[in-house]
Amino acid sequence: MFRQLFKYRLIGTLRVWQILFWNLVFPLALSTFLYLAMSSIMYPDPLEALPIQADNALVADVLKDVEFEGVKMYTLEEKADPRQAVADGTLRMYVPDESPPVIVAQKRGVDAETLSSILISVDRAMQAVGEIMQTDPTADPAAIVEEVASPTSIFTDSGEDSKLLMTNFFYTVLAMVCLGAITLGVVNVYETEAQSSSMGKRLGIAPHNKRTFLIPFTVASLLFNLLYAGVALLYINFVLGIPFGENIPAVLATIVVGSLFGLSIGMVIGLLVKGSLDVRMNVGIGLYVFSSFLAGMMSLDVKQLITLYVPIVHKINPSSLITNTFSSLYYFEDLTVFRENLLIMGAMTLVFLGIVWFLTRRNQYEYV
Amino acid sequence: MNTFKTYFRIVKAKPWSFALPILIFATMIGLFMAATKDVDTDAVRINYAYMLKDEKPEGFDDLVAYLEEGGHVYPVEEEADLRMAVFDNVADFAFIVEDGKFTAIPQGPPEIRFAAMHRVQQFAGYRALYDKYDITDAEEKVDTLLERETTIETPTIEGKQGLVLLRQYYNFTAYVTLMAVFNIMIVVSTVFNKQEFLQRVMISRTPYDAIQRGVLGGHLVMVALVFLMIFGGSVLLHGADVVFGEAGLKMTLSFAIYLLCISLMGFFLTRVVRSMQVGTMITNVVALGMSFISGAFVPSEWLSDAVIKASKVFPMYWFLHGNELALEGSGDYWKSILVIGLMCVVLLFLIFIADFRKTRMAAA
Repeated sequence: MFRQLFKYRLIGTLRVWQILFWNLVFPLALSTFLYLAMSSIMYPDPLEALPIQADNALVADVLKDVEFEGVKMYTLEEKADPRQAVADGTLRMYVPDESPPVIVAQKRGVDAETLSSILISVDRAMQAVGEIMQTDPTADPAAIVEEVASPTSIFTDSGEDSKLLMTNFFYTVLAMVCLGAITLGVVNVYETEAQSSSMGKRLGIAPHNKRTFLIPFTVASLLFNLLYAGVALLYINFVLGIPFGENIPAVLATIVVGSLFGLSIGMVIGLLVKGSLDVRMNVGIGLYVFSSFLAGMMSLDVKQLITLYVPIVHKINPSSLITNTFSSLYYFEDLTVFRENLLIMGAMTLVFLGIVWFLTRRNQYEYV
Repeated sequence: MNTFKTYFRIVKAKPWSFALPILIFATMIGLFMAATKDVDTDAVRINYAYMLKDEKPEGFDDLVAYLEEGGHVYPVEEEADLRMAVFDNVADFAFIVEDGKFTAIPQGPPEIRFAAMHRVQQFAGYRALYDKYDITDAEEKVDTLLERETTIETPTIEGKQGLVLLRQYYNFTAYVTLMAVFNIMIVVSTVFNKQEFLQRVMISRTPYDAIQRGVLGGHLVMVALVFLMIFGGSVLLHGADVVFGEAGLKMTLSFAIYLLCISLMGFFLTRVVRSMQVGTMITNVVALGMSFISGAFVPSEWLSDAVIKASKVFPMYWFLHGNELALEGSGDYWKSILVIGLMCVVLLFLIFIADFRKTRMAAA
């Protein structure tokens, strides 16, 4: 019987083209849009020298030599009306000869703040030289300036390679594919309910326990979702070039546990929400899209808010759990986060499956 | 009139299709606004995370207090958490303190790392320098030195902070309203497009186009309600002084025209798509796709030139761009309004063509 039901569940799932769309086509389209929106920030251009003007000769001399990670940060220009040039956009910033320093810019932002940091370090260094020379007239002003003016001298190199930014967005999409199993779980339950579908009526009069039907249904759905997740993983990794780290078995394990987690949630929704298949599906889809929103799919600020102020939601939100597991596998070799998250997902899956077991028993007495 | 009444009966009869999305969207707007409420136009704030591997170096608490003036500072205990803090966007810059030395985690945009490292270095560097030369009252003198700051002069707009938040609100609601408007239209139109309904229309004295006018009227009233909800939300969240100022009113006008444009898009969609499921699929792909590549979810500076060029065919781009121009007080704002207006005209023309064909088919 298992083989028969398993086979027909596979065929049945294949025929529901909406599932193919929501669980595969939609996430692939979404990851493509994300890639288009973020490719320039994921692969940031190297620092570009910004055109600026400084009236003070000493400041200009310092600025022309400022480098960060081997790249010159400024090119010095001379405009007749520098304030107007800033307004026109031909000059990025203008530094008049004043102390403490002043910057004229079109808008505040990282560029203005960075220049501000450099100017104030020169200004403070000059003040410090004056202070130290009063105590120790033999001190070497150049050495003092050298000691404090280099913006990164206090830090040692960690020797790590920089990782790609913004991968979180793509991990939420893969998490969404895993949680797409929710829709399969909803369909599984719907198909076994005698009051909902003709398949349910047939199964209802069969001389078997209803829960035994759910097992082949669940295995078939899980296989389907793993197939969808596998295709999505290949697309995101190889076509879009988003890395998942070296530990591929752990990534695959996350997908398996995440899909089973999604299936169990879907079956609980299918049992608890009454109404047509559309209504139940909409609740399931709404849940996993909202869960992905909380995990930072649309804004990393939302993820930050949840992490800081409602950490418990961050710890149990299905999409956050799967996303964080992928992140941990990419960003560091330590498997603590991976193990912890898999344990939470496993425990929650068992709880949901327990609920399914209990509710299916009750439904059997009520309707058949 | 009967069609108009039927429209709202359908809405009333399908609470799951309307109440649940509205609840989810309202929560999303609330969370998004709460998450971005700290957006500050006056300074770039940097959040730090650090891990102490051994004893605190001397003066470390003072350093933390100094860094907290320009952002949040989070201590973490595990190296894994330190990296997660950067990747979760909780911290912009993370460093390890061991044996009195600082090791930066090389993650994050280079400009932010530069600014963050500089701030740490300034404090710790001057403390060490003044101690080295035995300067009397070193701590106080370093504090005085660090109080000297650069002034950044920019063109000022009154109440800019409030306007930035209003722009964030409208930008995010651009996605939410698109989803809401399309969904409402698709659910209702699916009922009107049912075979049983069309058969009744064929034997009724009411012509097909009169019924469609009633449906369009219902859509427009529904869209007006959506506008009032979003507009009411903007006044509640940002205050009447921000919303009714010149830039605030410009953003509201821009939103109204954008809403009209996406309503026409939705109406056109219901002319060409009969199935609710297909309509929902198209809605999700269009809404999320348009939002990502037009810059509703991510800052427009993140988008490449090619993506910006491509997104110019969408009304959402012009709406978001118009909000930016309204914030800057630029005269080009009206150009963006004109483009959305032109898109409305094109959509009306397309709807007319689609309806003309259907009217002829119904008459036949």
